[in-house]
Amino acid sequence: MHFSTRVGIVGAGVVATVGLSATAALANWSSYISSWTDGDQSRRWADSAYSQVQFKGCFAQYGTTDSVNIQLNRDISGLPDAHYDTKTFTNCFNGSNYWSNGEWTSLPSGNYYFEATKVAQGGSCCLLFVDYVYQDTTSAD
Amino acid sequence: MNLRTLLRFTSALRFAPLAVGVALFYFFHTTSLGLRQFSLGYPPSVVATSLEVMYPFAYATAIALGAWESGRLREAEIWQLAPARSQYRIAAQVLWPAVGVAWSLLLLPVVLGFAQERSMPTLQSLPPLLMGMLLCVAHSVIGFIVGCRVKRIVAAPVVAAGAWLAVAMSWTVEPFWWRHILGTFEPIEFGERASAIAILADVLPTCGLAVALLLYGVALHRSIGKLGSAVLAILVFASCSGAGFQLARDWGASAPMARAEVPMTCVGHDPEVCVPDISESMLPSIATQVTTSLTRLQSAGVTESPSLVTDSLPDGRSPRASTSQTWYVDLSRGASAGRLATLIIRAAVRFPCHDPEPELARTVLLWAATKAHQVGEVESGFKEDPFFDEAQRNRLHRRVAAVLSQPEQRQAQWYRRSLVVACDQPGSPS
Repeated sequence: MHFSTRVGIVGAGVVATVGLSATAALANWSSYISSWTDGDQSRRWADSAYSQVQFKGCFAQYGTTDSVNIQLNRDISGLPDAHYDTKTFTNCFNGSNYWSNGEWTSLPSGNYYFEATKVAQGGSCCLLFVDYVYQDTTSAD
Repeated sequence: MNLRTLLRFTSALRFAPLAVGVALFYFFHTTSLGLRQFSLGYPPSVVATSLEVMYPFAYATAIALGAWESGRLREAEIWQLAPARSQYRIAAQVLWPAVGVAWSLLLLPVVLGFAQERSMPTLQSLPPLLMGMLLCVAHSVIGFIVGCRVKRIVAAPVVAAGAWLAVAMSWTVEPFWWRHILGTFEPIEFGERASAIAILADVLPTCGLAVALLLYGVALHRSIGKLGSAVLAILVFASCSGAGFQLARDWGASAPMARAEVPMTCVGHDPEVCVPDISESMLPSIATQVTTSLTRLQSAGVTESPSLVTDSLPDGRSPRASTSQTWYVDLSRGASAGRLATLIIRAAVRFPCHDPEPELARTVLLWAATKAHQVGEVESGFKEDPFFDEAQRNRLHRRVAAVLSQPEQRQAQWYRRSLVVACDQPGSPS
C-alpha cells in the first residue's frame, strides 16, 4: 500500500475515534490549564519521534514551590500506559510572559498525553493554572 | 502418551478458547487502529505493534498453564509411576500444548495484523515474535517448577497475576531498565528493526530463571545434591539477570533499535531526490517541489546546493543531521501534510547554530518563503504558535517588507549576514 493511501486511512481512523475516550489529533494544538492537580491529564494527540510541550504564565494556588512536573505518557488501550521522561517546569512561574519548554525525542508512534505528576510541593496540595499550553509534534519549528 | 490421549488429558485446550478470545478482543479493540494509524504496512512495525499488548497475556498464560499441568502430574503421582522415564520428556510432553496456547496469543494478532495491512513478514520483522515465543517456553518452565512445589489451585493464579503485572506494569515504572529486561517491545518505526542487544537484554533474565529452576527442581539434585544444584541455579540466574541489567541499565525509556535496509526510489540529479518505495507515487510531485524551491532560493542568494535530498522517513525515530551535500528531510509526511515547502526552506536556510535568535530567524524564514513563492504555508505555521501573536506577526511582515524593498544584491547580503547575527545572540530560554 502506498504512503499517500495510508495517510488517507489515518485521517479516516482519527475521525472514527471522535467521541471515544482516547481521541487523538494529528496536528499541533494549544489550550490553557485551569485548576489542575496531581494526576490530571491533557487531551490525546498522535505523535512520533518528537514532541514538545510549552507552558506560558504558570501559577500554583496554595503552592510554596514554583514548579510542576510534567510526564509524557503513551496511551495503550486496555493496558497500563507507557511512561516517558518527566520534565520539571519552573521558568513559566516567573510571570505571565515567561514560558517553560519540555521536549521529548526518540518516541515511538502512538497517541500521547501529558500528566501533571507533581504540582508545586505535590501531594495534591495545589491547583495549577497555565495561561497558554502549546503542544508541537514537529521538531522543524 | 499418544497425541489423542495427551490432548484429552491436557487442560491447555480447555483454556484455548479464552486465549483466542482475549487475542481477538485486544486485536480489534486496540491493535487494529494502531496498525492503521502508524505501521505503514512496514513488517517490523506490524509485528511489534501487534504484539505489544499481547506479551503480558502470553506470558501469564504460559506460566499459569505450566503450573497447572505440573500440579496435575504431581497429584496423579506420575513421577512415582514412571521412575525410569526421562523427567524432561514427561515435562515437555505436558508443556507443549500449554506453550502452544500461549504462542497462539502471539501468532494470532501477528497474522491478523499482516492480513489487515496487506503486508508480508520479512526475516528482520520476526525477532520480537521469536523472542516472545522463546519467553513463553521459559515462563511455562518456571510455572512447571513452581507447580511441582505448590498446589496448582494456588500456584496457577498467583504466577499468572505476578507475570502479567510484572510485564504490563514495567512500562509505568522507573528506572527504565525494568521495561527492557522482561520481554516486551514497544512499536517499531518505519526503517527500524529490533536490535540484537535489545532482544538479548529481554530474554536473559527470564530464560536464566527458567534454566536455574530447571537445574534445581528437576534434575541435578539427584546427582550432585541439593546444595550443589542450588548454588549452580543461583549462579545461573544471577549471571543471566545481571547481564540483562548491565545491558539495559543506561538505556532511556526506549531500547536501542537497529537501522533496517529500506528500498528507496530516486529521481533527478543535483539534487537527486529519494523517497522509500512506499512513497514512490508521490516522488514526481515531491521532486518538482524540491527543485523548483531550490532554484528560486538559489537565484535569491540562498546558495545551498545539495547533491542529495532524501526522505528522513526511513530514519525512524532518530533522524540524521543534514550536511551541506546531503539533506535529510521529512519528504513523504511533509508532502502529505502540506508542509513540504516549509521543510525545504528550513533545510535550505542553514543557521550555523542550533538555537538562533527567534525574531531574526523568523524574518529570514519568511523572506526565504517569499522568494520561494511559499509565503502562505510558512505563515500558517507561524499562526499555529500561540506565543507569536498578531502584533508580532505584523511587525515581522513590516521587517520582511523592508528587506524586500531593497535591491536583490543587498537582500542576499542581508541574508548571509543575518545567518551569522542570529547565532551571535542568545536563543530561546528553556
